[in-house]
Amino acid sequence: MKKIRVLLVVWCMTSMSMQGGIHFDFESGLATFDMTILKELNEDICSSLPFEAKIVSNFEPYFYWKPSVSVLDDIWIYGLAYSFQSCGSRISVRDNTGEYRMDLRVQSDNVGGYFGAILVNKKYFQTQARFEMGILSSKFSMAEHFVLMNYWNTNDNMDAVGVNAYAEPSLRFYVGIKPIALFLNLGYQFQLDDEALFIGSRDYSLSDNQGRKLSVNWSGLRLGLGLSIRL
Amino acid sequence: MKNQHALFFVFALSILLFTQSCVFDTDLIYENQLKEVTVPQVAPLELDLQEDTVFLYYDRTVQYKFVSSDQPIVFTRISIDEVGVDSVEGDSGKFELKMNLGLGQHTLKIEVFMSSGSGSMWEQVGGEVLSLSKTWVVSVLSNINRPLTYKYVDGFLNLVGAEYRGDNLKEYILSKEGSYYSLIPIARGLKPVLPDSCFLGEGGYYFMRAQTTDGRLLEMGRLRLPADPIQPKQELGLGNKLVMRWNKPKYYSAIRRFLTYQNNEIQAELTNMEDTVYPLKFVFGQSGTFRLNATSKYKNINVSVGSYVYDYTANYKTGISYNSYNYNQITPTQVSATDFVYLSSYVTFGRHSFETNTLTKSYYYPYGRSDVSNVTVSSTGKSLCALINGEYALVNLELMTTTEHRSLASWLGGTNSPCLVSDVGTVLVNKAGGGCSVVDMMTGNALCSFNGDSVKGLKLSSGGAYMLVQSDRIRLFHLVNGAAESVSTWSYSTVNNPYCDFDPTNSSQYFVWDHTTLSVYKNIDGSLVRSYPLAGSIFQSIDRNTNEMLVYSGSHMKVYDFENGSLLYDIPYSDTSNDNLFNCILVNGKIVSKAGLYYSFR
Repeated sequence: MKKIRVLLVVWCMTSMSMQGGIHFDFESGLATFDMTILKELNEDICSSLPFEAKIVSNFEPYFYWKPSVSVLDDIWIYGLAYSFQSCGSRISVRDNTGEYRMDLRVQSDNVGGYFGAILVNKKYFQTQARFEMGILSSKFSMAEHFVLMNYWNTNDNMDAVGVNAYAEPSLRFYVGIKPIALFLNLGYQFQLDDEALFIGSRDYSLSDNQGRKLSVNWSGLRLGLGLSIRL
Repeated sequence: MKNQHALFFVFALSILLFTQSCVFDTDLIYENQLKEVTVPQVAPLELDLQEDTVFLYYDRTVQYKFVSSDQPIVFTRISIDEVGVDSVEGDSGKFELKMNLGLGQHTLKIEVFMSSGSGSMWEQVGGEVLSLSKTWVVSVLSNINRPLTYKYVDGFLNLVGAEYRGDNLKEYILSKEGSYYSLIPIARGLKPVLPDSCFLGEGGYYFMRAQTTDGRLLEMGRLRLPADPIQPKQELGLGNKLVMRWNKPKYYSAIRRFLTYQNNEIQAELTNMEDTVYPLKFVFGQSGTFRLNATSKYKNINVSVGSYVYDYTANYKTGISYNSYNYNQITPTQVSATDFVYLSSYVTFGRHSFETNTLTKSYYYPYGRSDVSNVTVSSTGKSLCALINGEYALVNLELMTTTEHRSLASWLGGTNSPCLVSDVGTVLVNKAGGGCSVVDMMTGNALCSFNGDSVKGLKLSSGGAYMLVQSDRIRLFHLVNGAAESVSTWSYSTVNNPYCDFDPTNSSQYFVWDHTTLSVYKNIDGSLVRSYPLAGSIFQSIDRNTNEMLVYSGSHMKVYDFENGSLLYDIPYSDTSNDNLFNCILVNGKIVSKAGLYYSFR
């Protein structure tokens, strides 16, 4: 991951010499996530517990961060983007006899490239259409905490990773005066595959009790606000 | 331009660091709200243990189902003698109580575990439970070889078995063994005391069994009850009457009636069980069978329809026994006003007294060990002569001593026949070929002899001075100085063979009875003293003390006044078993029979 970030910085520095200008965008907002398989996993876990527990958090929309750099001329836009997204869930119950928590956390580092076109170009307003594709590098962690009277006191953790491809079409609306502009991003991220999470190497993939392979699905809306610096 | 680049780098690095530190996290917790815990009430919906003590006669399966007032029952644990035998999730199940626990007492414990109802996690995983328990004493009993007892209650035989102490008794069944070893139920009830309402004393093999609600039959005892029949006995009842008497039967309520039979002839019907005496139809000397025939009130297993009939029989003799021995040979003889002599046992004479009604003296003949026969007694009863062990013994009956004993074979001519004896120790001996002699037992010498093939000595007077001799006629001889002088003579026919003897009431007289007339004569000259008509067939005896005379005539024993021939008593008599048994004597108002019986007619 560090190599990707270094390459990103090097690419930005070299692209500064291109004509037409360079834009550095920093975007943040709320993302929704599909995560159907993991949600079902939560329900299975919850129903199999010998006591009543609830899913208090189940992959609700969460913040994402996405810096990008692009070069553009009067019409076309090319660029690289990195984004970080994170979400999770919790199964929980607690009383004076014990506590149970099951936390699932996933996060991904996305690296992709995009191209686009400037649809509207005014002095203080600009509209861009983009299409981005890239790689999702997901980290998955499961943490179980169980304390029950003096009989149980366990903490179990498990980590896994996954790599997937994604595509994200979006529209961006810029408002501002050079070199700084604010923008609104409306996009939807499609995960292009459902490769399973795995531990260590791909020989050990994760599956649930029914033998179904576990995978993350980051597909969802991306609604963000951002700050753009134009050099 | 340089400032813009510096701004860019600071901006980019800050964003990178910021994004890496903002990952998903949550502090949401679901707090489980606990409920207040209450103590539940637990009750059995189904439990085959009714009492605190369980009596075990066989392997039992106990089913249970409990219900709790509030919290659900999680599981149930069964333990015996603190050893778990079963543990079942839920509120119902079953377990075994087995005989192999061993005889004796054991402890059964059932524990019911319920969730607390708080709703906590600990409760939900089964860790937080409330428990209630109850213990029972399990008493393992044996039902082998239990005896039945019996008793009589309100006139019924009741069999008493061991109590079945289990809590699943349906009823007790009393059975009686029928044919081919079959057991036939005769009574049922809820207590182990059951009647045989048809028991008439016949005995039987009884079994009492307890039937349980699950259909088992457990033996509570058995008894082979011996027969307990009514035993009628002959007794002398009121008015000197012979009666058959029996004890009121203990099973009187089972009897509807009695029929009495005497010699298989129905006599009477008795319905009052208090009637325990039946007067025998009296015929002196008669032997027979008395039968008490009982009819049951209720149907008995021994009959398919109607009533059960059972007989109780007893032999009787119409007379009072005096326990004579070998009575076919020996005629009892009067020896005093109240006494008579008879053969009481082997070579022993007994003297029975009617004053005390007991055997007063015994005389044991010491010189021989053979049967006694040919017994004669002098007309006064003072002397007795009997053939014992080949010798004739002369016995003083007053002293009960042997006066002399000797063989009279030379005088008898090789035969054994009765020797008529006097009070003075002389005997009249009949020779085998005819003729007779008067022999002095003390010396063995003959005092006089009569010869002739048809001559036969009949009687010898008590003083020994006179004798009655039969030839073609009956003659009275007087023995004077060793010579016999004929005093008088009577002719007789063989058809109407007369009976003659010396008068026991007056030694100077004798009498002759020709079955129609009895005549008394004086010894000295044969002159008639008195004569009266007297019909009969066999002359029996004269009681010299009462002056009464006994004659057998047509199945009757008739008592006459010897003085005038008037009939005093007429007693039916029947003893046809042996003609010899017609010999009877009169003693003190009683007829004493050779058959060992006497009867008081006065």
